[in-house]
Amino acid sequence: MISKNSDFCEAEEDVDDFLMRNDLLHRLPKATLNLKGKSMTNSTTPTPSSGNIESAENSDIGSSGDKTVSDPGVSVEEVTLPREWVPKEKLLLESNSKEVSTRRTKSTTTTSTTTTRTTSTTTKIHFMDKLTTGNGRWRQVKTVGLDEFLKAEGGNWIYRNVASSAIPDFIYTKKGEK
Amino acid sequence: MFPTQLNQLYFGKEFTFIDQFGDLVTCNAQDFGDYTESVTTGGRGKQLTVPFRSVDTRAELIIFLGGQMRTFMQIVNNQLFLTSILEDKNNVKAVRIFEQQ
Repeated sequence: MISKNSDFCEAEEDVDDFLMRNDLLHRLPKATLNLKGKSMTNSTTPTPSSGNIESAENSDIGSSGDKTVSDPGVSVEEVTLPREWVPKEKLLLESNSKEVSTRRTKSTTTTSTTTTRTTSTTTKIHFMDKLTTGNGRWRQVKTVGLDEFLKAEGGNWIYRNVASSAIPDFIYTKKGEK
Repeated sequence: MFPTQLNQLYFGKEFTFIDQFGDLVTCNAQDFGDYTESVTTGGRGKQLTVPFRSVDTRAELIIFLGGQMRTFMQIVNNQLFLTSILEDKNNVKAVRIFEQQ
């Protein structure tokens, strides 16, 4: 019998539950999931925090171009009030006047707004670039559902035991990009 | 049992390789930036993660014996999750979790 490394563990749990708990479902085809009766509350919109950072060139921030906003201009309005609106005291003082004129002034402000046009370059980060950062070495620390998977693959008993016992290190190196 | 082997992955184009059972399989992988997805066809539905040796093989020699395997690679919380699905085997799945050394 082949014993497994003590540092390594094969988790005995449902693979779909594991994927849902770790928010790994959003990329998988729904047809391959067996989630009947299971809530996908943990499934959230993927956060491309480590994904492509792609910004459009010559993108406008805010409105485009220079822009001038003007409120209605300065206006002076002359209002003629009827006689009955004039206070009596004033009528006594200015008894001879036939009408009283009052000036009202509206002040307005002219605002000039200028927007800037920002140009940024397009940067595309490949997923594999993240794997190759540092020394590019990744060690397997856990598997879920591997035993059943190996059985479905059709390998014999010896193969399955060896494959499930192996703790591979993956070393990713980038050879080129087109 | 599985000696150190050098394998080549190509993204955005189809390529072939010999899997760990000695079967010729074809693979088509895409790098979407925050994850990768690859479809491996042929063989016995082997998983891409097991060491294999890539070979140059003429396309007309490809024989599709097995089913289709879909593999996803995602990084969540600094862990690499490699999910393999045997779509022709009742969608049986396996997840391998890796940590960077």
